[in-house]
Amino acid sequence: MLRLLIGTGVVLMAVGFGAAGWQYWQGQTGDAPADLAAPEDAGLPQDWLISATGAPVPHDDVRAYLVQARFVPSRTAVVIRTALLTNLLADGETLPEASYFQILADIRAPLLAAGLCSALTPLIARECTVNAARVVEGSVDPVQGTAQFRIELVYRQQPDLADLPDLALHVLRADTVVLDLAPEDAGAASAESALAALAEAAQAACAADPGRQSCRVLRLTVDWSEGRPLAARAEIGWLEPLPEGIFAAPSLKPTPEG
Amino acid sequence: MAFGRIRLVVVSSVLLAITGLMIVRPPILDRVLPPMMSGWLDGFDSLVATRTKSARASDIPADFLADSPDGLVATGPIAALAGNRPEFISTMISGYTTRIESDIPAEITTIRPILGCLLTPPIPGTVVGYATSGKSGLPLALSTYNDGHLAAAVQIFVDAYRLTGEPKPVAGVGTAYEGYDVAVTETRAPVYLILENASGNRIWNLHLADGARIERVILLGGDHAGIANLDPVVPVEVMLQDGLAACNVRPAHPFNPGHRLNDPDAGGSLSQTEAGAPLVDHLARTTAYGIWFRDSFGVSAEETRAGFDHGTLSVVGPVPDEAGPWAVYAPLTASKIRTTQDKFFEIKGQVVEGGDFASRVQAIATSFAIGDLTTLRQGVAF
Repeated sequence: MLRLLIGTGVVLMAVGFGAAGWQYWQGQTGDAPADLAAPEDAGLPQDWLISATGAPVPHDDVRAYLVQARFVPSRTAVVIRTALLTNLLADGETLPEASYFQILADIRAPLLAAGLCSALTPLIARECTVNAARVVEGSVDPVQGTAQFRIELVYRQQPDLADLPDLALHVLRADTVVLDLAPEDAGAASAESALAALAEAAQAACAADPGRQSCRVLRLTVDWSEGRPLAARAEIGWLEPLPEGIFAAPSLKPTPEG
Repeated sequence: MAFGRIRLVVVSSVLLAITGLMIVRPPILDRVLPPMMSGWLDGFDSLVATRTKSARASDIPADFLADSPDGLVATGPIAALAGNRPEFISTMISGYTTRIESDIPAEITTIRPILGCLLTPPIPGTVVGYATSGKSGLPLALSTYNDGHLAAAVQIFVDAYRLTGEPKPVAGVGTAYEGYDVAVTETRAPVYLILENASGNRIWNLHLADGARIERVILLGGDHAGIANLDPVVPVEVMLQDGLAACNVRPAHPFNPGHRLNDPDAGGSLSQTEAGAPLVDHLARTTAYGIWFRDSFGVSAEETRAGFDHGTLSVVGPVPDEAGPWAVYAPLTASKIRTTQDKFFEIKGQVVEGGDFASRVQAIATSFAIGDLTTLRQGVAF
């Protein structure tokens, strides 16, 4: 009886302390502070840039411009397009009950992303992939049988012909390229052609001014619906020498020792 | 000697733990215990309640009715009588229990809502009984749903899959019927019974006193409604929430004094100004509903109404005296139910494999994903 009692007690203690230890271990790993500098930033000459006014450029914009070794969340091509739900069906398939339109559109939205990446590669992108494709909440029109979709691509840019200049001696400038096309224009025929037309316009804007060193396309947004005017815009960024009177200083960071 | 003391300590600790579990009685205990043991524990609870009641002779039913910002809430073993007077359940019905989650009826008959807006009025000489239900917290093993419920659940399933990569079963939200008890102690004349549900799916479980007769049952409101343990020859008329709305009838009752709209200072989050417009609108609705109710049934809604916003039992008729007649609890198990239902109807544990709600959800998601759920995963590892 005594052995049984002691044995039970030992087992309970082992379980109890084991659980406590596990929770402590989990807490330790969960509470570890995130590394401020992402590992892919490590190979960059510097992880900060300043704007023409001397203000620091937002970190997302710096990464969208500088990090070319991999995809980054802030360098995107977003296509908002309206499509017929029947375009999402397989051969011989029919539309389900209207209650399911929204979820069917959400699940099959990636089908509409096919062909969009080819609008960017190889023109401006070396590599492109679909990051997200979803139906826009509440956009299903059961009468028309249509829905609006938001497709987000991420891409790596084509390498620059020349090496980057000394970043510490340059500022990052940015501009927005707007592309408005009538429905009958060739570029507005499809979402794919609209994205390709915008990429071309952005690239042309970069090339238009020789003073725009290492000009890169940072973001593209296309809002396309069949038979409607196209609204598209792209953000481009380039380097310019520091204006007179501005001296760059790196952002302040704690030393590794804290 | 030492072993004897240790044994004493061990046995005492075990007995103390068992007694504690019986008194505290966590809900999980009822799930793991066989029904026989649960029934025995019910008897123990009654015994404790009786002892406690006699020890606290000053307790009155009103002590167990909270005038809260969410409405009138039964916080103890009380039922609602006409005019929403509280009374102890134990003084009106014998064998009462709220452990009905796994009760399975013997027969379910589908009924349909009436066409049009005119209900059959009470015949002269009958007593009109009116019970309302808010939330009882008594889910049943029965559920009913349609494509809208399934589509919403597929979205939840897909969103979870996108996050975890695991196909986790999704339960229906608002698909289960909730039980609510109605006891009839009126024996002087046949009862024309109006049962009004605020929202969701409701099964009214009827418990009659010896000699009580039901002339007709009217089921009002909610998404779906049914009644158990009613004589099959008694007619039932149904007007669900959408049917009432189509007839421009919107059930409404006066707020209790402590309601958040009536008394913003008593726990409500709305200021006097914010509460003003809804309060005026509610008053208009209450007045309009009162007129419709009197025109339809010939009695005042608020004078006859028995039902708190949170409670489990309404009683139609007087409080029985010592000689009775008490209402007798009629279990849902092996009962006959007449109910409206949606496109799909399900009894927990009695569904063919792949035919339950969660399986349907996964099958739809898989079908929409063209047979491969992994295509649902999105996103780049940055």
